[in-house]
Amino acid sequence: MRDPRIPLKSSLVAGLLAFLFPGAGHWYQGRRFKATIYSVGIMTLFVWGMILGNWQPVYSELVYRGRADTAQLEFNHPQLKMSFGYAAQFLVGAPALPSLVQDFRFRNATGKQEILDSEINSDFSGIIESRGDDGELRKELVAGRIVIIPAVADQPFAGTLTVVDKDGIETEYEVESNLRLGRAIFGSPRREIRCDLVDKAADETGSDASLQGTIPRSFQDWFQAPRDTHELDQLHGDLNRRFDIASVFTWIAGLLNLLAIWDAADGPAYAYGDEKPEKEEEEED
Amino acid sequence: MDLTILTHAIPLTAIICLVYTASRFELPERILRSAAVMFGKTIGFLGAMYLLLLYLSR
Repeated sequence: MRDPRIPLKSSLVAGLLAFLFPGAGHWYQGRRFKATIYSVGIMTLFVWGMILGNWQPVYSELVYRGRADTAQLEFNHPQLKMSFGYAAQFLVGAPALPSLVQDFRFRNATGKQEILDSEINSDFSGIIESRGDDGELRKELVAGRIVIIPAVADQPFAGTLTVVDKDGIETEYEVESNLRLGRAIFGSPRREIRCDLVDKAADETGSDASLQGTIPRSFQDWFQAPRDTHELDQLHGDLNRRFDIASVFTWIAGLLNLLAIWDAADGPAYAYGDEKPEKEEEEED
Repeated sequence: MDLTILTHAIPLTAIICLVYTASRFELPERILRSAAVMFGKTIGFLGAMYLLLLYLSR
């Protein structure tokens, strides 16, 4: 039974506010002490998990990849599977809701091949594959700067790739053809880029090479967006157990907020708290 | 063995105890008292389990 001393006001509004942000329902009811416990406790746990997991433990959908190394480079309609962890994270409310927006954006962009509609001018890292004079395939881990401009004259794009090696020597390549960009919306801070290159310093016949690399993706395009198992494998490789702990923290934060929502809508589960313990009551009788 | 990972359990337990007891009672004193008791019992249990497993793994 509800205790009349507890100002629940509108249970529906309080429950909804408690869902939208931990503690907001109690703040609306004037139960400030509990509002502080819920908002500080639950948000600390959620943000702590996000920091431990490089801001990547929350995602609503897992993308199955096909034959490509990463689903970023597949533009068909991929098979999506709901993340079970998100069912718990969702209960934190607003802090986990961007995931649903990103899911919508991801699905909306599905089936469209990424085209270059604006200039790319950013750092990159990756592997350059080239054939030496002896015909042997060489793979070199590189980093540098890439500039690609869309639709120049009758060409679909034009670009250069500048690589700086460990001795500080610069090598410039021309981005020639077969440019492929990863999905614009995807749950990875790095966007895949593939292209064929020509070494500008080589002789007239040129030296063919190809790039398998990544460039930074803007925060609003990767935060809480769907990702594939390749990305999760990389996260586990980089963070090890930290990523698992981060995920568990965000799950627990969501599940704890379920208790807060219940309390906001229906009051505390046991009692007000000033009742005498059963033993004392028996002694008095 | 990396013990730093286990230190996460202490503040995690504290938050769980506080939020759980806050959802059971209304009075701040009762919430804090119950949370402290629950925290002590949980950490005691976890510590005992850790020592038991440490002993068995030697």
